[in-house]
Amino acid sequence: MVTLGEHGGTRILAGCTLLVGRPSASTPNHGDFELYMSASPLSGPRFDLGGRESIESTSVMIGAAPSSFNNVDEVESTVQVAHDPNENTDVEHPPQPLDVKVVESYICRTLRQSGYINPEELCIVKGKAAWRIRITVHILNCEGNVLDGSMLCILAALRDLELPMVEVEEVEGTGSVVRVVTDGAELTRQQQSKKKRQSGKKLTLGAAPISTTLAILPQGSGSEKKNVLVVDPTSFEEDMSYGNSVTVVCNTNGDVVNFSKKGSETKLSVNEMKAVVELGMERARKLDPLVIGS
Amino acid sequence: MSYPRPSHRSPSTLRPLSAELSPLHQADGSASLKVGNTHIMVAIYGPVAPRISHRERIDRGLVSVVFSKGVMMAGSGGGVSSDGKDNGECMKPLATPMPSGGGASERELESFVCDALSSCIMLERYPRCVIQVVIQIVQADGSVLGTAVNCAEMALVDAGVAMKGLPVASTCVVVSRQLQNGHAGSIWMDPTAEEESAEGHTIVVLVTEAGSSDDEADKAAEVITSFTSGAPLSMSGLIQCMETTDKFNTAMVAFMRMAVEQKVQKEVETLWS
Repeated sequence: MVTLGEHGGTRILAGCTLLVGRPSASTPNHGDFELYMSASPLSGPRFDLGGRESIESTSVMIGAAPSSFNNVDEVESTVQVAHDPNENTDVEHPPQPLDVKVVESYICRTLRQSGYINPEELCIVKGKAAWRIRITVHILNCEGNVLDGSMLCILAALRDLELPMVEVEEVEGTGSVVRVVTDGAELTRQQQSKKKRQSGKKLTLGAAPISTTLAILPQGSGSEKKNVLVVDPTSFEEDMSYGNSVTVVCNTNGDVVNFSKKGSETKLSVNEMKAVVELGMERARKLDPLVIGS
Repeated sequence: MSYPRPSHRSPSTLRPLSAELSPLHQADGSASLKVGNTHIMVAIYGPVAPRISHRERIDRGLVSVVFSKGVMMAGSGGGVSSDGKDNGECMKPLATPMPSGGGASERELESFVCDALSSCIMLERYPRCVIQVVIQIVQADGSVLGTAVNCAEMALVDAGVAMKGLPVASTCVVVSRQLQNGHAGSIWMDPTAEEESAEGHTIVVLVTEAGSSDDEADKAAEVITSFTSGAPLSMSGLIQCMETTDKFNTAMVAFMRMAVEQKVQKEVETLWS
């Protein structure tokens, strides 16, 4: 099923397909899911055919930079530094490109950790057949905060998913082969369109893991260094943060499913961490009814 | 301590550390770090020109990380509790052991290490260059990601790359909620693979450095990058992990200093005698 997550410009498309596979020997009654995220030049001007975002050094933004190098002036004077370290507008700083594969791995891992999907529900025949949910996500328009948008989209898509009713047939000869006959597969097209498809089983899903991403914008220099955190950053805000962001995934049970701070220019203090987690909890409470309701 | 750790240590005891600098002679810098049974080797090549010229930045260098997961794992994650009796108090390991790196793809781990290292290297000294960091897991027995970051830093020191600090990656496990009730000390530092894989536990890796405020008393650790995996945890668990990083940091930095001093002494004896 198709779901669009509209996100103040960022548009994500997610769909779920079902495949049948053999469960692994160590977990005979578990199904599995896999996630594929992709981007294309459709997503934005910086994306190439392979879905990779690239920042050309010629398109660098000048005059907007953090001065995180506050001890450069203590370096021995023989080093020719091209700018005056006391001014904070001299260093050119290209933004950090989005790596779709990193986001994909992060979301897949978080979904597994959160217990949103119960793998035992995906079992068809213990030890022989189980469902594999293939979730595909495509970024239609990338205007910042792809992570949050994709996460919501996937949660909604999974809630929309129905496992079809199946019959299992044993095939003689090669005893271990199992053929799954899905409902309505034998009908002709005409019959299919007339007959209302028997509704499948929806997944019973756990507490939805809602992610909240904040971009960290470094401000000031030296002892007055402060971070400004902005929730749900747009593309411009993400560029200004040079890849510094913090993502917290919370659910309505009050759990922190994942906490991840990325980026090398800024540091997060304990108080900031607490504030971010509290914000994440609040967001989970607000967005959970949306995900359930869809 | 009413609740025993499978590795029979107290919650804040680290495993024995051992390091060797420059084990690889062809690389510009290299280090091999052993934390208990976890053995990581890192080689540094750089600064070199990037292979893809449009990747280079005109004002600063780039860190490129290659993370290689090995095949050998010490210990087994699936099995009974270490003291043999299952009196219900011991934790139940997962049927499948958690893969090193908490189920993250190599790309995600590379991005994590890249962020951690970029924060401490003076990249503005190496414009248009790439510092390539190659991490190889020789043996994995828990705390793989944190050890990889620490080992990479030692290799950078060995290579003579200009650095502005030594942030340390500390790994700890937040014990699962059911087992936490009534037991003091719910954070285990430097976990083994068995401790990481157990059901309901969360692994938290934090790369921290002392805060940059001028007030000495206020120099609390601040997080540069973080990585969590495993079961969901509570906010208080997460904050507690931050508090354990101080001890880990001082121990690790002291150890790194010792390793470098040993190497320099050895060089003085063999090369300059």
